[in-house]
Amino acid sequence: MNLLPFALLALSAPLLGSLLAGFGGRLLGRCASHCLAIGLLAVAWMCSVTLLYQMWYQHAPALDWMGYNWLTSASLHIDFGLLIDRLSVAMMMIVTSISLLVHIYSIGYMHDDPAYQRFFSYMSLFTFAMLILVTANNVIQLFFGWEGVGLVSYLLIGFWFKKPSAALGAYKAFIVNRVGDFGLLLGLALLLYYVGSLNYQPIFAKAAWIAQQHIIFLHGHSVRLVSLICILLFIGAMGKSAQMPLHVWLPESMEGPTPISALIHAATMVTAGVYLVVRMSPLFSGSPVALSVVLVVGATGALLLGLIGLVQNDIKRIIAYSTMSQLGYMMAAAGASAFSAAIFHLISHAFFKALLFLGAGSVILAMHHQQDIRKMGGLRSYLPITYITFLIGSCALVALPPFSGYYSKDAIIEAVHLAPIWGGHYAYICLLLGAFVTALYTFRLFFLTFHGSPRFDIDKEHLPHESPWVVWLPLVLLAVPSVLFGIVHVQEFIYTSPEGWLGQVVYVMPALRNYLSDWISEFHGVFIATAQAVFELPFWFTIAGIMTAWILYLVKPSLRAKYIKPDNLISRILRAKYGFDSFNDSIIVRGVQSLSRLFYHIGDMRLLDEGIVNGSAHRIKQLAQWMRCLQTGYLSYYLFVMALAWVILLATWVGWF
Amino acid sequence: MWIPEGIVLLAAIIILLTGLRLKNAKLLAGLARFSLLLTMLATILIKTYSWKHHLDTLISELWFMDHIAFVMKLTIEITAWFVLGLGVHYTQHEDIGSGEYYALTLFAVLGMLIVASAAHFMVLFVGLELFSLAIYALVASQCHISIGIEAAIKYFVTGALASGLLLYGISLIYGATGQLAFVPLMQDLGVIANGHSLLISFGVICILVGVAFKLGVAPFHMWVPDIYEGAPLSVMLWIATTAKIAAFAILVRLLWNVLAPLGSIWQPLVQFLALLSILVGNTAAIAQSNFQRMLAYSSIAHMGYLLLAVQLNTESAWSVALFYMLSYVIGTLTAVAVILLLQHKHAHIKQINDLCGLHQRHPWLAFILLLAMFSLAGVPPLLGFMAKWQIVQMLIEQQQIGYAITAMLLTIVGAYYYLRIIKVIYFDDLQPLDPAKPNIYPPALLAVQPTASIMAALCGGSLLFLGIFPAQLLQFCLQVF
Amino acid sequence: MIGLSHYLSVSAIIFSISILGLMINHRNLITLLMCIELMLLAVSTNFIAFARYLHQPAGEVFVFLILAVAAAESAIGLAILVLWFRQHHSVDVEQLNRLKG
Repeated sequence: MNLLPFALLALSAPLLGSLLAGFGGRLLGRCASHCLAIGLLAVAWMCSVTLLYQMWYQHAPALDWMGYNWLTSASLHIDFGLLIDRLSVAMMMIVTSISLLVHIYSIGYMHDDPAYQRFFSYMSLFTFAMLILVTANNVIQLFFGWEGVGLVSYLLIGFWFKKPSAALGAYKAFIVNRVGDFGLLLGLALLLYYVGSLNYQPIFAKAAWIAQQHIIFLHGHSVRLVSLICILLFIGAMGKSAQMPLHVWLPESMEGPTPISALIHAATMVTAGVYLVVRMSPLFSGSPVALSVVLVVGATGALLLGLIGLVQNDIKRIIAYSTMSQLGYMMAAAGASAFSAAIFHLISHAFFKALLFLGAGSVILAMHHQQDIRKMGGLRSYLPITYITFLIGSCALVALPPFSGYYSKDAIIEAVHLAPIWGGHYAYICLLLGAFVTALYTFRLFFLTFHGSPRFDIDKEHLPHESPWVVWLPLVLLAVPSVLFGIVHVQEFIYTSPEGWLGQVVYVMPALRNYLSDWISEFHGVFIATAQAVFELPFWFTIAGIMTAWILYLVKPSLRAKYIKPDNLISRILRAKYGFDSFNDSIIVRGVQSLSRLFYHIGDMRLLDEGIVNGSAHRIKQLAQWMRCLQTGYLSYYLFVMALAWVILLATWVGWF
Repeated sequence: MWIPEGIVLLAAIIILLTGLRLKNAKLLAGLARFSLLLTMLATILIKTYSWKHHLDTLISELWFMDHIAFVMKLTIEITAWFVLGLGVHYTQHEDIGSGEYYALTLFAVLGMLIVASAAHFMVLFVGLELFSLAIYALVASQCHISIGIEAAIKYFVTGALASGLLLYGISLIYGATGQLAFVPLMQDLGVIANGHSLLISFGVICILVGVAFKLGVAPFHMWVPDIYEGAPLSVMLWIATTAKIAAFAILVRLLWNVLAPLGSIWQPLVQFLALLSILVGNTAAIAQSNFQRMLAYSSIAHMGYLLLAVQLNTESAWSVALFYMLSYVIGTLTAVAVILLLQHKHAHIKQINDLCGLHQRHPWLAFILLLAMFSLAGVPPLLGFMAKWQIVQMLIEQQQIGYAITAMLLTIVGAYYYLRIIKVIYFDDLQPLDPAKPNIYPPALLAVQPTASIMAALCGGSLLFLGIFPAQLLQFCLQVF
Repeated sequence: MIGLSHYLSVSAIIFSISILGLMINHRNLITLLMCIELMLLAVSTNFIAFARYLHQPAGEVFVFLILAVAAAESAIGLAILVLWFRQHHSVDVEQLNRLKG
């Protein structure tokens, strides 16, 4: 069966939807716009399902389609091509599914927004860019999708651009991502320089050769080329996947509409960094250093960023910090070469985190756009469906068996525990503590929101009520895989071979294959694994976290006041978010500002502005005025110029003659 | 073999005869466009027929039937069809006598078709004069508007001087070789390429001046801004698109089919003209406030880029020049199409500032105009970028890196005035036409014109489509030469 | 003996005179038309001289075409000129300067 038409259809349908909703929005009206966007997205989803079916059940071979060469300049080929293999199909599936549900959800959530059609257009455009990113067969196209999702993310964070915080958040996301992109671009440039091509195929074919190259810096320090490339690529991934210290943009991105937070800043775009690392596994596997960096950065983020979630009070920001923490888990898995586990966690996380965000959106709708959990409480009885689905999402997030999060997270912790690479023990401890922290902040949020007594003004006329069906239906639909996905698929996805279901797509360092074999040999079926949970450390850390939250926030809130001083050192540090923001503000931003002021006064105003930029603009404007004057409007003058030019041409020729 | 020309001639005569009595402009327009469709069909059929039966590409040393002729004819016919279709409402509203207008345009098309096939100086001259004279008259077709007539006089006199120079050059070449037909002449010139006389080099320069005038290349560009501004918009569109293709056809015939062996004479001169043109066009356009005048300077700059490819004088360079010409023509057609759609009987769009806030009133037209401006400025992924890219790459391959850099720097200068239009249509607020009547805004539609709107959208869409998928078109251009 | 070069010189001189006339004349549009005619006649002289010299009829045929085209050109030119005259009641070249810049 030919997979290509399905892949192309899956790509083009969201683009068409975006164009129709964007340009025809005014003409079509609200209903037709969202129907078209959703219908076309459903087409893309069907195509993804077909592709996944072919890959999963029919074991269809991967498709590497070199479609079209757009531009060639020396060794730089800008091509359009598709790589449909197990990894990209899994990503396509997740992107289209979540996007479809979020589209449906947005009908309800954005119901009163004047820019309704624009919103749908952006979301479909995002889906298109994300699909381009995951189906690319070359790095340039991946970069195109990468920037595309970044652009749409910027547009959507700033969707309510009249709100200053939204506009600022959009800026921040844009600027921090540029830092990451800088690394990514440098990595790509190195690849282009050494491999001479940016298609995956030749890059991976030369991976072994790259692994043996060294770059010699000044003073004869030599650096392994592959480590340099991988770390530069990982800097790009850090920006997109909000890893420390480039995570600062993600909390600010919560200023965008909630469906966007679910789609872009939880389920899909932020996982692009993980996708990049897994996709580039043949390169990463050549460099233990890079793997260790990935592992350590991921594990550190998993713990430290989760901790910040403990002191946040904005419902969306708590989930945002949880997202960063979970992305840390995925990165750690990739660092431990358990690529399938990383992707598996990516998928299950996409389901339950989208569920949590959409549930939070439902709460926010019910509370009339109040996002502070200190002003909620007792919502259980008002929002029964949201309550149950949110509980399911929370259980999946804290990795309680048999929810899907358990299988993926347990696999990750176990893999990191066994991984014989530098930083493995440190990472293991971080992830274990992370399990406790995750449970604590998740259930803190849960209890404060849904249990206890209401802390908002109860107005008999406007009691909070359950949202319309377009809002709760996606919640229910997301709750199903949040429960079942792990238990059904974990065995085939992770524990079939050291590479897992991804198989040939990823490449594991031979030195690490043994440990991975040990790791999967300890797995004896899903049910045993579920039952074994009680004998494992992470489980008890989780239970401890939940119990702590229960005691501190429900049973005896007075304990909190007694033992946790609001201004003790730890909570001050956490509230300051480890000072990243103030560091950025005071050192980087202000430093750059003062430096740029210096340059501005000396370099810019004197040299560049007066001399080159404004100067040249000025010169050109003067030139333009002068040129205008040359066009005097007198016929005899025109004839004179023509004849003169003719004579000059003749004369120069005679001179040369 | 002369069926396309015959159809056009017949239609022109019919319109000329009936147009005096028949006042139904729609019918005349329909007839003219129908005849153009027939001509396109005939051109394609004849090409396929002669290609299948391996007919000779040269008929009695007078008439080329080669790929170049085919491509030029087809593009002339297609753009003529678009220009007529886009201008139907405008000509009606502006009281341009419809009988003369359509008859003259068809005569102009006839002249252009003749030029495209010319294999002899006499044929070339007759075709050139036929379409030039028709266009002189077209420029003056609004008898009551003073600047239109002023433009016509200026165009006529400068054009006559250019024809005179061209003829003088032809006579010198004729005197030196005794040949007037292109094919034997080119053979003779190939033989004497190294030891040519003063007569020949003078002739070549005179011919070059004549062609440069027709293309509107600096310093023979003085007529261009005045004629673009003074002529009625639909006629300006003629001059900016169809007539430019015809001028390019003359350039190809003269420089490629005749004077190619004497490249050492004209290549340095063309280089000079090209750079001067890019400089003059891009800088002078910045100071313009009139939209048509700005487009005029833009066309001068574009012709400079075109010549930058031409001066390389290789087959692939000529192909790239053709590609560039097509991109320029489609871009200009799109831009002017939008302006034509926006003309209102009481609110002419003349100044760039009349387009303020277009985005708020007509988002689609604004977007099409944006595509056109981006393409003309050379922003990826539009066709204009691809065309500029091809030229720059060609220059770098031929080691003319200095020219490539100069061209790119001046492109940045040029981007300024294209982006200014985008700024005006997207970021400036609507300005009421008349403070007393706050409800009438300048960008008002002349009338709902479904056909013309679709044509404009088609042009804009092709800019984007061909920018993303240029390979087929580029391949096609490569096969022509 | 009058040879080819003499003819060529005469035609070149006429050609130059016509171009100078186009440039110098600031007063009368009719004179411009005359100069254009003169220019075409200079070219025709060239063609005839070469045709005689090369013993070829082609150049002479070309001259007929040039004459025909010159007639058409004058007709168009005069027509446009009449339009101008109707509005401005003058044939002053200097008045043609509303389009500039």
